[in-house]
Amino acid sequence: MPNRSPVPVVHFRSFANLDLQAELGLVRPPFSPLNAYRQLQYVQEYARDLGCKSVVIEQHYIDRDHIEDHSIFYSKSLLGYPNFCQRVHFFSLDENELQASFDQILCKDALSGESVYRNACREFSKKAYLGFSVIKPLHGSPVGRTVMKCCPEVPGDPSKAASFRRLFSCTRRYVSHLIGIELHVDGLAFQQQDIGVSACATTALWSALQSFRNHEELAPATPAQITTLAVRYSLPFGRAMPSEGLSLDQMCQAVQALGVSPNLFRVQDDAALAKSILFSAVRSGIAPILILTLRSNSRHAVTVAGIKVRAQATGAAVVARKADGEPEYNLDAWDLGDDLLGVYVHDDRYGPYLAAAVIQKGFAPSLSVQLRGEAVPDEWELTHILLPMHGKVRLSFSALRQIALEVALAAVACGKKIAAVVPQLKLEPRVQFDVKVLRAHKYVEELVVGANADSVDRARRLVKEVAMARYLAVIYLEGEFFDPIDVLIDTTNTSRNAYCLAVVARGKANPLTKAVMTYLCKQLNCAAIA
Amino acid sequence: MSSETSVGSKEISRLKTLDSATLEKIESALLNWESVDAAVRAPVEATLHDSDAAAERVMEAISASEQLSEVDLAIRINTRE
Repeated sequence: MPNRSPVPVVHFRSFANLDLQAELGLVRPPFSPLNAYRQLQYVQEYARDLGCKSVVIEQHYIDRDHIEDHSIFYSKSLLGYPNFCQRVHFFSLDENELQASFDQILCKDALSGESVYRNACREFSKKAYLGFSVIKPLHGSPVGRTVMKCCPEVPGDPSKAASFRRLFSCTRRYVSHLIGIELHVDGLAFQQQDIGVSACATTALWSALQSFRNHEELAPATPAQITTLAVRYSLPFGRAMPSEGLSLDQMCQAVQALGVSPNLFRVQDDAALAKSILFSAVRSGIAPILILTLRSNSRHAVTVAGIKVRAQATGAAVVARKADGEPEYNLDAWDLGDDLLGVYVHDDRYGPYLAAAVIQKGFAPSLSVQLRGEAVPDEWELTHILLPMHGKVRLSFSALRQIALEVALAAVACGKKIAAVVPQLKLEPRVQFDVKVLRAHKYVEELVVGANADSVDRARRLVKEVAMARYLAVIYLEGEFFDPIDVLIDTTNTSRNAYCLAVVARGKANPLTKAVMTYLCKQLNCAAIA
Repeated sequence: MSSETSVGSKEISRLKTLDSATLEKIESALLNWESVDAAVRAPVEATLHDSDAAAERVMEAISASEQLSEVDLAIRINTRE
């Protein structure tokens, strides 16, 4: 006789004084660490910081990642692990307000038609939904797919607002459904390692690949799939599962096997390059995976969800160094990547959006992390950066930085020539630059959305006159003697055969802009969109 | 950066007063640099030469980030809680 389908029990709870561990029925297994619920506590504290007032707990939730992990690994244990999870939703309204909002959407808005219903769900999510956390039936490592809202771009504290901004460009929109309400949250999925199907390397890849789905259609990869693909051709550390970690080589293999191209950089001796790559990658919407050396000398992987940047763009001069590392020559090209102050990382040992300052020790980049409850910041050396990119982007961020520097120096040369020809202008030939990779249609949208008539006209001319690659490298140039300029590079070529597609003006207030553009177009042999 | 990023507004207002003859002189010089007086060109070319040499060294350092060895690839990432 067939069983009846499970009853979807949903509980509303006040967040104040909530013992989430007890509410979820979690009991620490005898041999698991005393702090087994550190990630759960972190998520709860993070929700408190966001202003959480109530939670809704779904007691029977089928999670794609868990059911796959269950099928591959946990179903074969003697202990009968359930194949379903619980899910906790966090809200900034108290229980009564929440019930009233749900009633309004379901009993009034929904009756007025689909568009009214969807708008109401969107508005409600924007106002009150803080995210969700899937709780797996693994009592020693319960935190599964967790998507929490990010902190606002502009800090609430005015003194902080004057100094920095937060950019969470690696996030995407997640949709969840709760008792008939469609909920939306912008974030990046986090989960803790279980040492069964995943260790830190797998979970870092899993988070980064979630972000990649912003750019291309890609079936979501589960931790079990990632580990399986990583160990397909090489098992240098023994068995694949329970997971004993992955090598960098295996991480690259997993990325490649999922149809994405792994771009790997060694940055342990070059903090300026590390900051530049992180700045460009995150602004391109690519979630970097950071390979770190911890104080214990063990290697760790975390995923970057966002960055903290200076509120006022300044950059820093690119410096040529002697063999011993001493500065030898300051170029007039200023890299805006130096405005990177910190990163927000998903660390599967702690939780999502952990704030870490990017610091420099000698020439080596490090992350300084102030952990909750710790008196002294922890420091982790950054040694490598792994970027999952589309295969058509043949120019790496390292190659793009070289091209961007060459283009910026061409603009500097232009400024120096103008200053020599008309010395009374007293021009400062310094040029700030930055590079990012965008889908071509996104760049066109950037020119059009919320822009003025001139910008729309440039977009029209660009799509009419220039055949564009699927992905464009956009080199941004800014100087005192011209309006901001974008130089568009075809990313489908190699650095030896790189081509410039167009030089696009982003303003026309400065009378020298036309001359600078003409000069650059001649140097780069491309179209001018003025 | 967005197009809204501030540029030197003082600089723009100063440059706005540029007359068309000066603009024409600048455009012509940029397009036909070889035709500019050698005494004007020489110091610019000297600084550009130094800058090019320095940039070459920066490029080499950037390229090194992609020259990975087997040692890099064999790094085992397995930190537990």
